[in-house]
Amino acid sequence: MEAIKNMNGTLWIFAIILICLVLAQSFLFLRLAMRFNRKHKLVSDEEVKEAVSTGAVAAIGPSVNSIVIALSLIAMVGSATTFMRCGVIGAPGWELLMANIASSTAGVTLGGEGFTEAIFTFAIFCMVLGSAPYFLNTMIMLKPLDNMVEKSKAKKAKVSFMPYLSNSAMFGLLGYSVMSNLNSISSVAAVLASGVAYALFDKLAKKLDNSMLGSFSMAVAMIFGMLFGQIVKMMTPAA
Amino acid sequence: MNEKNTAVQTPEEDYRIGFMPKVHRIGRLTMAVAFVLSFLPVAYFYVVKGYQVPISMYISGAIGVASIGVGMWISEPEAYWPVLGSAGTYIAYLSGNVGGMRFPVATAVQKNANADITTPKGQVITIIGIVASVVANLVILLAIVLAGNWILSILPEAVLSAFGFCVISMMGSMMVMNVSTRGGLKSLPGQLPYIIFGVVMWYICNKVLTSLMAWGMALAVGGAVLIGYFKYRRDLAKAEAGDK
Repeated sequence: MEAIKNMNGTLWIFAIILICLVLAQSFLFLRLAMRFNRKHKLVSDEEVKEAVSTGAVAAIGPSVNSIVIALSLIAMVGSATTFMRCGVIGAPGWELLMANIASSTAGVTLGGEGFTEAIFTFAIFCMVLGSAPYFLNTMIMLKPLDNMVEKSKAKKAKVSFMPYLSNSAMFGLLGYSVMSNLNSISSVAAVLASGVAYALFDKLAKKLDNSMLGSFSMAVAMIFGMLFGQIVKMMTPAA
Repeated sequence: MNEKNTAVQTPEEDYRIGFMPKVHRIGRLTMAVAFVLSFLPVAYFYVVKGYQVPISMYISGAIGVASIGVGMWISEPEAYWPVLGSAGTYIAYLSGNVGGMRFPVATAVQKNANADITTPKGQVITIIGIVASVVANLVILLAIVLAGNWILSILPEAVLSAFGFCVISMMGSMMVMNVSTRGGLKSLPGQLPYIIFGVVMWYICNKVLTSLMAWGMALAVGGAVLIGYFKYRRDLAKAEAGDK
């Protein structure tokens, strides 16, 4: 633990630098989008407000969900590293896995006996390496992908490929993502409850013609899903 | 006509010529800086402070990390890109929490604004929504890091455990949301092949050929898009035949 305590202060400086970069990037994209919008008036102020509240509300659930893993990560690598690694790509679970690879390579326990400054540095290296190649991927791949889309848009065909691309990608991804999060009876209850709650709440919002209400549909559905999942979990005997 | 808009007229043209190149300029620049900056603490402690373990340990650690990560590094951003768009993908892969947070946010804001990601409006609204989630996430994360133990102590165990269902609940509502925005229940038979393909691909990559696990998501999306392409060719042929 000594090593982590000694390095935590310095690491906070690096953490703050990286978080500033995340915020700067977000700011640059936001400014670009807002300027473009001011020029062409594509999105109304109302819609901007809705998008902000949808984004902010949707961040709460997953952030709170990761609290337990985040805290165990703090116990093992300190507060600064946890903030740095979870604020910049990576989620607590992934970082924990990477830190574990490092410690088992070094033959010590995370934050335990023999976890020296040198091994801590090595653990940070493994966590950074766990996500850094994603940066390279996006730098190399995204522009060519966009060029492909623009090319197919420019072709004046009778039928556009775009809706096919977005439908197939979305539903393929959803089918896969639902399966990877479906691991118990209670999670089945959660997915069904949230689906039904979403359908009903969305209908209600449409009936009342209240689009602000509509932007909370997902949050409401999530609460119902969590509620039913937890009820079923408490009713089924622990395996 | 507005006289100021002499050079570039339509939003679509400006989107293609002005907006998208800027997206990639910002994206590539910030990702390059992020790549260097994220290794900076390691370099500092290793070189300046001299906290060194043998290079051989670094190499074997890197191999361990790469063996788990490489499939995802290569394929995962491309699987989310058709939903997040380029700007969204740059932001998501710098700030993290792609599947559980940015993906649901992008889907929800596009649905509320009734705009697809391939349209200028869809891009603008997605950027706004994702940026809001980034800021909210950082604020909550900071609170957790500084006061996590206290938060844990005031939340009942049942509430904490319920949060374990939050991602799957998001997926459930997203499924319904997408069916309702993409043509409603009557369109479901048309979408089912994609969903089923995703489910089957998950099963194959996670239960049968587990060595494919890291590639699963990209295979699911890639295969579904291929099915979509065949459907498109069929409908296109039909539409052209109808003309004659």
